[in-house]
Amino acid sequence: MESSDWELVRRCKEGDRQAFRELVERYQRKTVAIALGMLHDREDALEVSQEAFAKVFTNIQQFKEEASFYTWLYRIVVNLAIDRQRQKSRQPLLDDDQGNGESGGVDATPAAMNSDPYEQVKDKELGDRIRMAIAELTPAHKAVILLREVEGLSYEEISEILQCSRGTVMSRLHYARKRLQSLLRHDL
Amino acid sequence: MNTCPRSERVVALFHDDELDSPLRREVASHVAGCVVCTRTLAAFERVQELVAQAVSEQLEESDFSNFWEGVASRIDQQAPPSWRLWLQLWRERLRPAWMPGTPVWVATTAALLVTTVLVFHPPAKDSPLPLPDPAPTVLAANDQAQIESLSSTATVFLWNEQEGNATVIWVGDDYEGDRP
Ligand SMILES: [Zn+2]
Repeated sequence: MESSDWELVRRCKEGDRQAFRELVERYQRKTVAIALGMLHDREDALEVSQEAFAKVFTNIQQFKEEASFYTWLYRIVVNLAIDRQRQKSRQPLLDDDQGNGESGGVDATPAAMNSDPYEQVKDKELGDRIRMAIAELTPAHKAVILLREVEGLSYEEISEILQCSRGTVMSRLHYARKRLQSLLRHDL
Repeated sequence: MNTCPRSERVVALFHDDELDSPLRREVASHVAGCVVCTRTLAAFERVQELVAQAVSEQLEESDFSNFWEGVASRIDQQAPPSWRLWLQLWRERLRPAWMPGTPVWVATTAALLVTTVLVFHPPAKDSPLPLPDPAPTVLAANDQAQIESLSSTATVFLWNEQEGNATVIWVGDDYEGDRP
């Protein structure tokens, strides 16, 4: 019979690495899915997930039994993904012709801001169009839509992971959906 | 253009299975008969389908074959140095209740260490001091380590690991029990 998360966490606290490996194998695809949705890069997503698991193992003694393991794990993944995204957006552009080099790698010229993102990606595959639409969202909106639509979590669980109120989850979800509907209007 | 008094947000709550039973049934029957809400619900479902599909496509292309190895090597990199493990072990398991806390312990140890160095290694070569009486007693020894008593009142114990160049000093002001 498969051990519960609790049983595995208890064994991890006693230093049992095999138990931790079971937890990793149980949740690796889910954490990578969240990181992929946040970062849109397979290598970054794998790295961030591995980093999150290592952080979990190192801090396992601090984990309190009243919380659920996966909400704690997902919170770490989301936070690390946001950090990774920030680091990347701070990296200066290699080609200075793309901008003035101070825009953090994002073309923030008025022309770019006013253009329709759909027009820029309409010739791409549907999967790419969706990923580019998700990339248009802020990290907070991305996190909420991924936890709901990909992981199928309840508002309560999402509020626990993102450490915000249930009302904030609802309004972020509403905004994110409206934005995606607008960006993907030709595919709906 | 068709409109509906029902808020889109209620349809979202229905879609996300966040409504309690009586309201859920009511909204279900409304949506079934309302063109606007049916369209809203269909749009929510389509967005969910597209987002899940986009992520799962990328997930299928991800290579998990060395995932655990990557986690394990990161854990090893994050492991605290051995001296910190020793300190933690001392604090949590070995330190007797009567022993002072770390700050007092560290200050006493440092003072005794300086005194010991001055007594055993005087600056002038030609005026060696006689060894204190009784001489340090070897209490335990192996290839790597030895435990010595440096005080005739048995208040200081020194554990010295020569290979790792590590020293643990055990200090007690009023120690009366058996030697370790
Ligand atoms: Zn309606």
